[in-house]
Amino acid sequence: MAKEKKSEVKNVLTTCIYCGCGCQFYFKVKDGKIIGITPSQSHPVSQGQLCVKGWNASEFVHHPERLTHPLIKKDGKFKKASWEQALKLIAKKFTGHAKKSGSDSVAFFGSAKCTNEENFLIMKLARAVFKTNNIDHCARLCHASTVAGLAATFGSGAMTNSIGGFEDCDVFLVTGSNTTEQHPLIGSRIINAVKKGATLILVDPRAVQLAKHAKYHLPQNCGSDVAWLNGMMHVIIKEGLEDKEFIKNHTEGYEELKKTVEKYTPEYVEKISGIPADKLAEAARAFAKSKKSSIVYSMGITQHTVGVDNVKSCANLSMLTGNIGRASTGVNPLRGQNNVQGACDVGALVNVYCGYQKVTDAAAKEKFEKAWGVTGISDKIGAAVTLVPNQALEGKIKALYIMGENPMVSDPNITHVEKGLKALDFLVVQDIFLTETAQLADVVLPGTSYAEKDGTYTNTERRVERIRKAIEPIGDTRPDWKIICDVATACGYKMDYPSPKEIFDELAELAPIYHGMDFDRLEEKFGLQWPCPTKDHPGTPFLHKDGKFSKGKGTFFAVEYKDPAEMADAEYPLTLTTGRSYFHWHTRTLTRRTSSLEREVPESYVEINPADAKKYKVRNGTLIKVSSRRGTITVRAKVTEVPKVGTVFIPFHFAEGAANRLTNDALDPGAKIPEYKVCAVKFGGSK
Amino acid sequence: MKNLKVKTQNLVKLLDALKDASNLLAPQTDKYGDTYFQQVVDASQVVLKHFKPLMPAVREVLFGQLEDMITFKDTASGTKIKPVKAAKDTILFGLPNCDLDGILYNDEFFAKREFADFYYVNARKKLTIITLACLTPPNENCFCASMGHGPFAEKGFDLQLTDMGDGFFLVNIGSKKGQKIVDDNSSLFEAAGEADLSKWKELKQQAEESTTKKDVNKKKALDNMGRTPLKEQMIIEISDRCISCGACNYTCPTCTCFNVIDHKKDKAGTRKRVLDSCILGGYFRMAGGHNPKEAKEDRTRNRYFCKLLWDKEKLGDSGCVGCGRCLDACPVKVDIKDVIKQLSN
Repeated sequence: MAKEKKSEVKNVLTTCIYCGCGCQFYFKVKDGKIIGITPSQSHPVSQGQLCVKGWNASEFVHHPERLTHPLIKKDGKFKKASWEQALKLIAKKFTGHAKKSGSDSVAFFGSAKCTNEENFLIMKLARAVFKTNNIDHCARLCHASTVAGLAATFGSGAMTNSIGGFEDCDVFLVTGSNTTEQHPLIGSRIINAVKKGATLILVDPRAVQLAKHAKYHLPQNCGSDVAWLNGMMHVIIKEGLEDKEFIKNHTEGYEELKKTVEKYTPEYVEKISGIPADKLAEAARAFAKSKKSSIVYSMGITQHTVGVDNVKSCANLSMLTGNIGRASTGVNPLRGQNNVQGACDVGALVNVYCGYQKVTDAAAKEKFEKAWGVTGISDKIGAAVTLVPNQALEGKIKALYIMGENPMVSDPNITHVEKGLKALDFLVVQDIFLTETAQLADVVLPGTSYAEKDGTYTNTERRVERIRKAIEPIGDTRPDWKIICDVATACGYKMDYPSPKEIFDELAELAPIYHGMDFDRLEEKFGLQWPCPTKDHPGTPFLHKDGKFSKGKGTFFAVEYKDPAEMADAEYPLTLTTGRSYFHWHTRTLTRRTSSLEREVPESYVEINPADAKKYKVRNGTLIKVSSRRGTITVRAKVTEVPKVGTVFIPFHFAEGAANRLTNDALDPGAKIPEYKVCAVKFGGSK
Repeated sequence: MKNLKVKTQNLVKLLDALKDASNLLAPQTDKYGDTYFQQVVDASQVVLKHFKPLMPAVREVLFGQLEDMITFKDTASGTKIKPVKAAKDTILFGLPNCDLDGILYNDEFFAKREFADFYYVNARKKLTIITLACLTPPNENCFCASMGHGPFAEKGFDLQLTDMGDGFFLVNIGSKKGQKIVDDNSSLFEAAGEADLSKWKELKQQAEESTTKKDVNKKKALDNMGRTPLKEQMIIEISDRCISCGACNYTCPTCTCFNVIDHKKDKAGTRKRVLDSCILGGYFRMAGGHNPKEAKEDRTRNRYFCKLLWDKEKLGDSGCVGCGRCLDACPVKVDIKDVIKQLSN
C-alpha cells in the first residue's frame, strides 16, 4: 500500500445541546470536522438511543453563518472589530453607566444553553464586579414557578426523582408536558412503561402523542389546573384514599388543605375545567391507589400567572398520597433546556448565589465577598428577565449584557421587548449566530459552540455531566467562559482561569449541593446527581428519601383557583396556548440550520380544531391572520383534532409568525413567570 | 478458499503492522465502557471478541451521516467548484457479517448500477475488510441467520477470522487484498489442518443455530410481503409508539437514502450530503406542500415495504440483514421481527 498521510479520526463523548434529558453521544471527528454522532450505549439516559434532534445535533456547528469575529455597530451597521476594541468599548460603557447611574443600571442575562462554569462566571461578573443582582436567565420563562413552588413545599426546587425510575412507575400523571416531543427519551420511557402495564393519566388541552397511550386523557380548559388538582384531592380525601401515615409523620398544613378542597367537587371542577366529573374522579382513584405514582409536568403547569400555585398543587397531591421520597414516584418537573437546571444551581438568578444561597442573607453575602475578595455586594434582589424591558423603558437599566439568549423570539409580547431593548443605551449580545436579538446589539461577541469547549451541564434529574471539546474554535471565536473572563478583566477585576475545571472547583467550593464534585469524579462515571456534599458521596438519585424533606416537614399549601389574566371573550373568542415542536429548538437559532429538522417544520402554523375551522371558515393550509390585544401575525392554518374546541396552538420558535407577538406578559406575582399558556385571540387582523 | 491460522499474539502483531501502513479502524472499548470503531493507536487495545457496533460499519468510511461533497464559490467568471479530497486507504477490522453484507448491499446500490456514486466508489476502492465471525449472537436482538446473512461470511471479505478458542484464529482469505496482507506478514501465519477445519465447521453450525429465530421464515415472509396486507392493527400500534427519531434508518446497514444540502453564506459554501430518514414526514413532502405519506402509519408501512419487498425487486434480496440494530437503537422498542413473524405464517 502506498504510504500517505492518514486521516485523524477521533470520538469525543459529550452531552446533547438540546433538552434537559442530558443524553450523551460521541462526536465522530475526522480531520477537525464533525462527521457523525453515535449515542453512548452505556449512558444511563441515552442507552444507545437519541431523539431526532440528538441524531442531528452537529450540522449547525460548521455552518458558514457562524459568527467568527466581534462586531461593533456604527451608524446602524455592523463593522468587524478586534477583541481588544470590543472589550474596551464594553468596559467603558458598563463601568461608565455603573459609576454614573449606580450598579443597578447594568444587567446581565446568563444562558441555559451555556455551561455551569459560564453561568457561574457571569453571575460573578454581575455580583462581584458590578455589585448588582441584575442577573437572570430564561429559567424565569420556564420553571421559575417550580423553583419557588417546590422550594416552599419540599425545600428543594428540582425534579425529585430520576429518569431511570420511570419505566417502573405504576401510574403517571402527565400534565402540561408534551413529553414525547420535548423530552423524547423520557416520553419513550412512559410509552414503554404503559406497554408493560402502567396507567397513564394525561391532563392536557391537546391530544399530544401520549394521548394515544393514556387510559384517561382529560383535556382541561387552559389555566384551570388548580381547580382540577383540587378536584382530584377532593375525591381522594372524600373516599379516604389519602396516605394518613405519611401525612401525619412527614407533613404540615393538611387540615387547611382539606378545608380548601372541600368545595372542589368533581361537578364543580367540571364547570371550570371542562373535565367530565366522573373521569376526573376515576383518574384520582387510580393515582391514589398506586404506591408508585409519579407526577410529570412541564410548561403547561408553570407558565401561568398562577404558576407557583399550580406547582404547589402538584406537590400537595403527591404528599397527600405519599408518593414521594421513593424510587419511581415524586414530583417531576421536566427542565427544558440542556442546562437550565445548572444555570439555576450556579446562581444565574436574581435572588440566589450558587447553591440557592439567598442574596438577602448577610452570612451568604459575607461568604461570597470573602471568597471573591470584594466588598459591597448587593443584598437587594435584582431585576428578573421579564422586568428588564420595563426598567429599560423607565431609564433604570442603561446597559444590558446578554449571553446566549434570544428574547426577541422567546419572550412574551415581543413588540414590547423590542421597545425595551431599543431604549437601552448599550446592548451586548454574545452568541454563535446573529440572532434576532443580536441584530439589535451595539456589540456582538462570537462565542464557540458546545463542540468547541469543555464544561458541565446539569440535566433535569440533577445529573452534572461533562461536555468535551471536540474541535478547535471556529474563526476568531472564544469559549463563553473565556469571554466573561476577558470582560471582567477589562472592567478592572482580574478574572483568569486556566480551564473550566478550575472554575468548577470554585463553584463546588461555594455551593454545598455540588461540594463533593470535581472534574475527576465526573470523569469516572456519567456524572453525579446533586446533592453531592462530600467527596465520597455517591450522589442522589431521588430527593426527600423516606419522607425526610430537605426542609424538614413537607408543607401543604391550600390554594384557591384563580382565572388566568386574560380569558377568551366576545371580542377575542379563542384561547391561545403556545409551546414547542419536536423538530425545533426554542428560537430556532440552531435547528433552522439543521436540514432534516428545518425541513420537517419550515414555517410557523396555528393548530385549529375542525369545529373551530368550520365555525370561522378557515381552510387547512391557508395563511391566516391571528390577533391578540398585543399584536397580529400571519401563520398557516393547520386544521387538526389535536387542540380542543375553542383552543388554538402556535409554536413559539419562529421569528416570522412569532407566537410571542400575541402572548400576554402578565406575570406570576412571586415567580415573575409570564402567562405564555393562556391568552385571548381571534382570527383576522386587529382593528 | 485457502485457510490459515494465526495465534492471538500474532494477530495483535498483525494489527500493529497494519495500523502503521494504513488507517486502521477497529472496535475498542473506551474508559466509559462503550465499544465502537476507533482509529487504532495501540493494537493491544483492539477487542478481539466478536462484536456488533451500534453504528454499522458502512457509516464509518463509505456512506456517513454528514459528508462534504464539493465547495463552491460564485465569481465573476462563473461558479468555481472544488470536490473534496479523495478518500484514503482504510482497513476495517473486526466487523460482524451483518456489517459486511450491509456493505455488499451498498455496493449493489451505489456502485453497480447505472450511475455509480463517485464518493462511495472512491472510498470503497480504498477499503480493506477483515471480518470477525460471531460465535454467539452479540445481543438478543440478532437474527442474522434467519435472514440468510451469517453469522459467518461466505463472500465479500478480504479476510475472515474465527476465534477457535484455543489461542488461534482461523483465517479465511477472500480476495487478492486479503492474500497480500497474508503474504506481507507471512511469518505471523501458519497452516490450518483438517482438524482445525472440521472444528471450524462445527463452530459455524453452532453459531448459525444460535442466531436463528425459529418463528422467522424469510422465504415465506418475503413471498407474503405485498400479497398479504400487513396487519393494520400492528402497523398502527407501531406508529403510535414511534417517536420519529430516525434511528432505525440511521443505524440500518442497508439504508441508502440521503439528502443534498448547501451550507452557504453570501456567494460561497459547501455542498454536503446528510443521511436521511423515511420515518420523517419531510422526506416525502413535495414542493407545494402535498404529502403522499402525511400519516405516520403510512411512513411506518413504507419502511417495511422498502426493506422486505422493494429492495428485493430492485437488488435481488431483502434489505433486512437481521442485525437487529433498528431495535437496539429504538427508544420505544419497535421490533421489525414482529412484522416478519406475522408474514412468516
